[in-house]
Amino acid sequence: MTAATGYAPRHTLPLRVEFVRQFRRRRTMVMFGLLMALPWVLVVAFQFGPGNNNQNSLRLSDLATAGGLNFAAFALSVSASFLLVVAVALFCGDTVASEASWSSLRYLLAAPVPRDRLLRQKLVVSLSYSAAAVTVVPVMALLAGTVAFGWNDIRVPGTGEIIPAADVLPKFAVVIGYAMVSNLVVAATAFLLSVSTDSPLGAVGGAVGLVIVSSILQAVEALGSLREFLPTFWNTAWLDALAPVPEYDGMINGVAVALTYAAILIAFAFRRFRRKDVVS
Amino acid sequence: MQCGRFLPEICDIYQEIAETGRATTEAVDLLRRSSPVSVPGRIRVPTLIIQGQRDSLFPLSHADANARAIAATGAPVQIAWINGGHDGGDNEQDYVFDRTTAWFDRWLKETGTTQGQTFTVSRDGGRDPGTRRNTIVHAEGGTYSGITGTEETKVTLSGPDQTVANPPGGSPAAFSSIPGFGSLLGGNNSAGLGAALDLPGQSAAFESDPLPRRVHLTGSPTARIRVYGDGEVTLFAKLYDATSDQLAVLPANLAAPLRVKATPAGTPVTIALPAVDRQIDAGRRLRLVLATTDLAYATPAAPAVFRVGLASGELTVPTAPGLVAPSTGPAWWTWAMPLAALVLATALLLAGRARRTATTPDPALAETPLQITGLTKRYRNGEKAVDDLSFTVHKGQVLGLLGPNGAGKTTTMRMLMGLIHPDAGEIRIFGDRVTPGAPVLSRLGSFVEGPGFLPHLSGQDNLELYWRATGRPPEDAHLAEALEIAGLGDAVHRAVRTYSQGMRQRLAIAQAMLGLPDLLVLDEPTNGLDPPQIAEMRKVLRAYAAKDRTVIVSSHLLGEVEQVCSHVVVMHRGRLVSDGPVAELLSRGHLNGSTRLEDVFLDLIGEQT
Repeated sequence: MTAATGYAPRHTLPLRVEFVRQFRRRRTMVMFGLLMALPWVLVVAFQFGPGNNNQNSLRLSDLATAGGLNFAAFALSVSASFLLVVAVALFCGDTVASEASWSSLRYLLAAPVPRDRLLRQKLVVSLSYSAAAVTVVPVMALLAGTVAFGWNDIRVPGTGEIIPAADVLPKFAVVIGYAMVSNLVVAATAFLLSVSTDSPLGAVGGAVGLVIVSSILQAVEALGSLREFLPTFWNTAWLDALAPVPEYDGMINGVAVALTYAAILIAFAFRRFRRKDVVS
Repeated sequence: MQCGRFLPEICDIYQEIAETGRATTEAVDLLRRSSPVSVPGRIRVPTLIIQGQRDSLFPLSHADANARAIAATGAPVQIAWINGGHDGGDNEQDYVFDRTTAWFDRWLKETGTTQGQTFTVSRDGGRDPGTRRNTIVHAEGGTYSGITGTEETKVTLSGPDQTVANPPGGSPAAFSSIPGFGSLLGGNNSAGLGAALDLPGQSAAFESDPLPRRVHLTGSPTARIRVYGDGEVTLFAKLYDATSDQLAVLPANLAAPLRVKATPAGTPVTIALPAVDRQIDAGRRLRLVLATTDLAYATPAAPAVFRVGLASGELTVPTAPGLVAPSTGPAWWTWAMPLAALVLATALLLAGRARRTATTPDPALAETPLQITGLTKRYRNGEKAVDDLSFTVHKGQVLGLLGPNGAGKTTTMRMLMGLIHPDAGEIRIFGDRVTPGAPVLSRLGSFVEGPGFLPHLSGQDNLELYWRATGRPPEDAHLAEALEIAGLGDAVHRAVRTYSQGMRQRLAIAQAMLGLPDLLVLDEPTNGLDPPQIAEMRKVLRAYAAKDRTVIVSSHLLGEVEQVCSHVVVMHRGRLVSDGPVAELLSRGHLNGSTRLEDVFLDLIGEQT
């Protein structure tokens, strides 16, 4: 008998347990509360803010009140660049580092939850929370926008063409999926930092910092086509999917870049965690 | 006068025409002789014509005339409408250089294989995703559609007849662009969104309804008007891309000048508007404006009044749907990079796995809770935290791991839990070698270096979730017994963050006892407990070991070890100093004349009282 009766490595740290452990945390609740409240705050801002009478403007922000779908696209565009990045960095950067800072990590490892399995389960759970965060904003915005501005066909920013709502819904799913994938880089960076440090805020801040540095670099045109390999370069490519003639090249490039970074960073996270001396 | 690169005779006739506003026959002849039009059918070489879209001096219609004349001889011709021109915009130097070099390579060097498309038009490519600045794309077509387009869209214009006046002296003048400068009203960007200005009373406007769908205008639109009045009138025709509230856009800031002999019955005129390439979005209107003045031109000085109306409401808009910006398609790296990353990631993971050495359990030790052999661990600075440590623990023992702070007790326990990798030596629990995550660790309960709980959960939830994390059956947990040992009462339902140090400590010991492990390792278990609790804890530990289980307790308190333990291992500076039953240790002390463990201990570690 080498192990205690009933012990099997593949049964350790079930996903359900990890979901519960993370869900009851205040920062999880606050983050989701914030993400769900944001569209309603925007609705109120559009309703009571000083009116913009520029009815014929074709900017995304001016078209936001044209209907639920337009509003959802607007809400996603304003939250994707920073709020969702922070949410994803929080869920993925906090996951291992906070266990280390609470010292509960060593008891999980001594339970024993094998290191690869611990990391895998944590990765699945934090990516699920990240995906939920990315989904909740546009879906809630769709709901809030429909309640406030009605269920109208989408008016395309820039050209002003009308696309029937039913045609746009599947594209909307593509947009949400793309937003998830493009945030994989942030998730993977935060995750790697999370296994490397005992400070949850360090891991979250590090990942957000990377996004900031990357956004600064992508504004430097002298870098030429090198910028295409920056992790944030293709983040707004999802706007192409809502054009009257949808273009997917930018999104495909974005997915390629995101998957590349994510695969390597996550591999490094596993490798590092396997060899690490857990001293926290 | 500055004549620049112009021939003096050209310069002279320019001055003459500029003064009078009318070309003399000699001037026209001279210009004609200087133009390709003078050698019809004699340009038979392959020709690449690059013409700027924003150019009021040499508009696209000139390039069109050349292209048609040369193509008529059978010579290959390619036409590129680039973004810039004399009036501004982006002159696309790199693109022009590449096109010309490729053209020369093809026809002179006869090496080049890449040849551009017959017809290329530079268009607004939207914004660069990184810089949010405008980019240019090159729409290409296999055939040259000319300025009349390959297809036509009819747009209906409407508006009443309007009176237009030519102001005395031709001033003030309407404004479209200044050759060589472009629009003076700003907006001189590469997208060609310049503003223009018409003066009331001097211009007639006819407008379409909002376009139901997008129209891409490529070429020279035509419209038919009538001009009523008496005598010759100079008119400037412009076609705006307009909406009701925003400033209307005059594509490329171009106006088409024309002279009309007006008659009271109305002279019908077909106007060819400037050739441009522009996408007119759905919901926009097309506005035809006819003005009597334009700042860039000399106009008649005599005041006069005319009436302008539509001869037909139809505006013919040429389009070239064959022109499409090539979808650059995903670059090779789009597929290669993620695949390479996956290979690299797999390699990284497999390489990490290879370090694991297969360990075979030692059946002879299957009943020995713990055997440590030659265990060594260095700090990062090379100093040894644990140095060649070896000892064995047998069933039923309560072993005290004794040593001053920094003796290596905690480091040993961490290695015991598989948290840190030893540099040398091995640890076997029930014959199995301890590695990170080794299954045999499930028979070990541990409390090392303080409790570790999720502060937002209650004590009970912490223990329950911890047990569920082990994946073992709930009935094996013996949760009730553990909670009894913790003795937290109702506090067990409160969040752990509200607990005192002692409560956390007791809860952590209870967690270590979950599932009643065969080997229990406790690091300084009585720290932070009050005397009655310490006494209680001693009882618990003795009772625990009595059931054929084994307990290891580390402490730097001698009295603690003396009262609880049956055996003791003394460590100092990472090394084993003594190993044996407590009684034996005390008897060794007896030889030195003292039965106090403290004296024995100090003696052992080499510090005399």
